[in-house]
Amino acid sequence: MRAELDQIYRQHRQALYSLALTVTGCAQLAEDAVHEAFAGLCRGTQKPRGDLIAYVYASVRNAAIDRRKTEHRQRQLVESIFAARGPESDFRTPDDTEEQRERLQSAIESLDSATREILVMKIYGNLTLEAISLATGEPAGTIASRYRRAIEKIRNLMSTRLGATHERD
Amino acid sequence: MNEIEDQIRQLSLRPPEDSLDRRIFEELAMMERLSPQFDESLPRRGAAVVTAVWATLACLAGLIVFGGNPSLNSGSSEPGTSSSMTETTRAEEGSGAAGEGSGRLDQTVPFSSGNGLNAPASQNAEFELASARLLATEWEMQSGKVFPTALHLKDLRFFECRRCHVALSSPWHQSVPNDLTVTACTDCHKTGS
Repeated sequence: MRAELDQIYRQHRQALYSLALTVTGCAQLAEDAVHEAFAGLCRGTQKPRGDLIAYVYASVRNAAIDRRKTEHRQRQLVESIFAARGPESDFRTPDDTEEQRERLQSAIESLDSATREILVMKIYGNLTLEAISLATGEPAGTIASRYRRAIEKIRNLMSTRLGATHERD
Repeated sequence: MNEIEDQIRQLSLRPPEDSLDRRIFEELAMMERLSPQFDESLPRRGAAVVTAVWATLACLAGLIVFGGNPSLNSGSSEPGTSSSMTETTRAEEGSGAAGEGSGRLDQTVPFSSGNGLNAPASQNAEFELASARLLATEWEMQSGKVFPTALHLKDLRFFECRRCHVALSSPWHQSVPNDLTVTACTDCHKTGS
């Protein structure tokens, strides 16, 4: 169990953190949620049955939801899951690529939180739709259609903004 | 769809702080310290039950042989000697060859002379103590490793007097560090009870 958890953390560290950050909107709360989830798993007396990876994602998500409930009563938290690239960035990208990246990030952040969670688990965690279904407690069919709609929406937003940019030029 | 997915995948995510790694690995390390492989063998209840049945039969056989008044030399103070009824003597192994609190347990006795017809009122507690030892012994036999008793010192079943069940602040078994069969407090050992 310990070895499995260790491996899962090493492989899914970034995706788990991004999931928690998507839910909480706060880096510190996200870290606390991931820690809390693993602490619970490590101290638990029984080994979870079924898909352990999905179980870990569910634990992190639940811990993050609990944190959000507590903190959001006091303030609205909206930290991005994406890395900031300020002028101190070590590398430069062509302006159009940079602009496209920003548009893509904006499109993802315009999605509702629940849909972004699915996106994070699917794309960054490489979870199957069934595993996401286990982690969220929603039917796999619902997860699949929400994911499909999210990708469509992002594509539409990207093409609309791209068209607007070309017209402006 | 794949193109958009690839573009999303290439976005840089905000990484967690290193402190998160430290916190998680501390939890994992603590998990390892608190529950060695012994815990993973516990679900094999079938084997443990069989061992417990054999131990009970051995105890009953002992009572028949000794007429309900076992004359066991449970107070032996010679390091490496054993007070056990069903001992498979490995005294030379258990008399200090291994580190403190990490001796093999397959030479240990499941029940002391106080069990059976002459059982004390605290028989249940003693049975629990014996069961813990049995499980540890079972684990050793299955894994071929030495049970890390030192990791289970918080478990009072491994750290209480087998006669009066007080916590062992000054356990006599320290003089025979690897023999849990002689886990008795100094007072009980002196009285030879």
